[in-house]
Amino acid sequence: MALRQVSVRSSGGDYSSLSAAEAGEQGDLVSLDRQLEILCYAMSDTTAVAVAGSTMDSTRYMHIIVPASDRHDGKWNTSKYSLEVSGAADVLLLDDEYTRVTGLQLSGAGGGSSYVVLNVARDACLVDKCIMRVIDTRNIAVQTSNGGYWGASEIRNSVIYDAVRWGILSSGLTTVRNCTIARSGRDGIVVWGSTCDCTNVASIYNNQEAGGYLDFAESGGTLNLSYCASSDGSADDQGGSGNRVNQPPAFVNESARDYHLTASDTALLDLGISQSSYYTDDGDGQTRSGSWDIGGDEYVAADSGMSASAACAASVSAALTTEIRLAASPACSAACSANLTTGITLSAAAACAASASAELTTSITLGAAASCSAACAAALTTAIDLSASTTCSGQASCNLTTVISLAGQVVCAATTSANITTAISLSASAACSASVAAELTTGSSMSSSASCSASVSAQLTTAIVMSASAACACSVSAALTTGSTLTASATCAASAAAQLTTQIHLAVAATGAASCSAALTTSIVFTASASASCSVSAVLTANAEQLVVAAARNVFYLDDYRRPLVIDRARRIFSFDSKRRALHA
Amino acid sequence: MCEILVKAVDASHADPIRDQSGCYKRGMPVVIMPDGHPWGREEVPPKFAVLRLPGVSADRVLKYIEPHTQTAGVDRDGNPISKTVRRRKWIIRLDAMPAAHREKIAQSGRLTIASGLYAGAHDATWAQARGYFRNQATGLDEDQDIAAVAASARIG
Repeated sequence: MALRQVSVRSSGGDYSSLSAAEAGEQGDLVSLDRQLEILCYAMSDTTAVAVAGSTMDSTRYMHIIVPASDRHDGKWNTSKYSLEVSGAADVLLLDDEYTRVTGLQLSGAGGGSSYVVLNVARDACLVDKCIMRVIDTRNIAVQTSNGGYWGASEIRNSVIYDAVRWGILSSGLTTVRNCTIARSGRDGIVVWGSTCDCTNVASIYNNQEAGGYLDFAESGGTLNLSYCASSDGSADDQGGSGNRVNQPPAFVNESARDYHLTASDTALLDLGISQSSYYTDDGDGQTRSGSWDIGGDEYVAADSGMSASAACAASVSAALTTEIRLAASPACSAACSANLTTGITLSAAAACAASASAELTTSITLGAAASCSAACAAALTTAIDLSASTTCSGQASCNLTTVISLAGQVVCAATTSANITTAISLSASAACSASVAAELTTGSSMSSSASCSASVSAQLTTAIVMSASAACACSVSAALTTGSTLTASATCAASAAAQLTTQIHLAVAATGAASCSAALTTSIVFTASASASCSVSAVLTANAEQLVVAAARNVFYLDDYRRPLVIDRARRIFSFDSKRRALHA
Repeated sequence: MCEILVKAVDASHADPIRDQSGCYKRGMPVVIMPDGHPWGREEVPPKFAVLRLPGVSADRVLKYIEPHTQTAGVDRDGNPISKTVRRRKWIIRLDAMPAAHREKIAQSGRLTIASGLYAGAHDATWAQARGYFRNQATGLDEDQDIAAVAASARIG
């Protein structure tokens, strides 16, 4: 049997929507002897999907999968793949037997009461690790109506909430395992026909209409429950074993629809029954072991921390959210792909050779002699300090937004392509050989002896100061709009093609060898001994004292007595108005 | 301002009922995306064609990707039960188009239809093309000005 994989991505994939992928891959998978995997990567998909018109069996089927890296973590996540449909259609209709769905976030809004979020119309379908939510008018989050000839359809490890009326309305042969169903207007699960078998299901805080509805209700079919829990008294209404009634679970944040369990929970935690012959993980991919929990989430305790001298050689792929400390001399050779969000400290002599692709958002400190050779692709947003003697040879492609300090002796050889927006300081002896393509907008300062050989193509908008002995060999093509000062001994060899509009000073001994083709409009001062060999095509309206050049190949000179000597190709005569300190034709 | 991805080849199913209700047929619109949408590697001929409507916003043409459904009674809660008759109510009769348009679609996978306020380069006008948009529920071809087509029943 062949395995065919196709991708759905917002750009650069085989398909740009799941709907198009289903349309393009529709076919007889049995005759093709093919298992088809449609891999959905992080994006917001908005066209309703029906899986129909294909032929499958138990081994040759269509599997719609969100890879773990692009999948929600048990709570709705807008940065992961989601299928969100507004209007008159079921969000996802499974109308072919044996279809499998893993890891989707499905959301329905508008369209009226008749439409559902997930409609399972055929047998032997399997829906795993999904989130189904209703935004407003839809009565039903999940509906099953399969006949049962080819076997039950199953929903497992999923979270279902906010249905106007029913979380699951089962009229088909249905199995529900390890799901959490919450906040439905009427019943959490209701059976209108056929049989629904529920194991390890938490049906909580339903009956929001207050009309006598239940977390588990049987109304015409057969509802079998084992090891289920309800917040009302309905979980044991149908008999069965291990069921728990009147349970108030301790979720992480129920009002925010975060149905992860906390360590203090006594309603669901360790009170389920193992289903390990069917699966061994939970809604966000964590391993279920020991005594199973009821509901979509298996509670897994967080790591207790890594102390001084600890060595982390492991592969860390989980979320590390608080106060991760690698103390003096630790070696982190692990691949860190998790979120490292708070208080990350790599102290002196620490070596970070890891590849950090996660978000490092707060107070990242690389102390003296620290060496960061890692590739930093994450967002570094606040208070990044690279102190003395630090060497950053990494590739920084992320957003560096606030208070970036490169102190004395710092060498930044990295390629910086991100936005650097505030208070960039390169102090004495600092050498910036990087290619700076970002916006340097406020208070950027390059002090004495600093050497900027980089190519600066961004906007330098405010108070750029290049002090004595600074050499600017850069190519400056951006707009320098306010208060830019090139002080004594400064050499501007760059090609300035941008607008230099206000308070441009070339001080004593300054040499402007650049080609200035922009408008120099106000208070341009060329002081004594300054030499400007530039071709200036703009109008210089005031304070032109030593030497002035004007428009389009018309060259103007002021002699030693500040009288204008004018040579005009058109033989026009210009004079110098000493009162208005301006040149007139 | 929008582009319509159209299935350009038939899918089929051995069961004639599921073949009609579940399979995309040549000319059925699949999805609608904004102008300049980065279509995927598989969203090209021979599987698909793209009709570009640079003068029309996406919400004006959403009706073309509605499924063709029929009401089949009501459930015990009084809500109508709908049954899918075809994957799409509308079909674009690609094979009835003029040879030049068919050739353009076969070669490039794209056909630009001038409509609304668009006055740029195009292969056909909406007045020329709309007669190839057929409502399978009524059997009638589109006769409305695209700019006036109401987005009364939105989908997706």
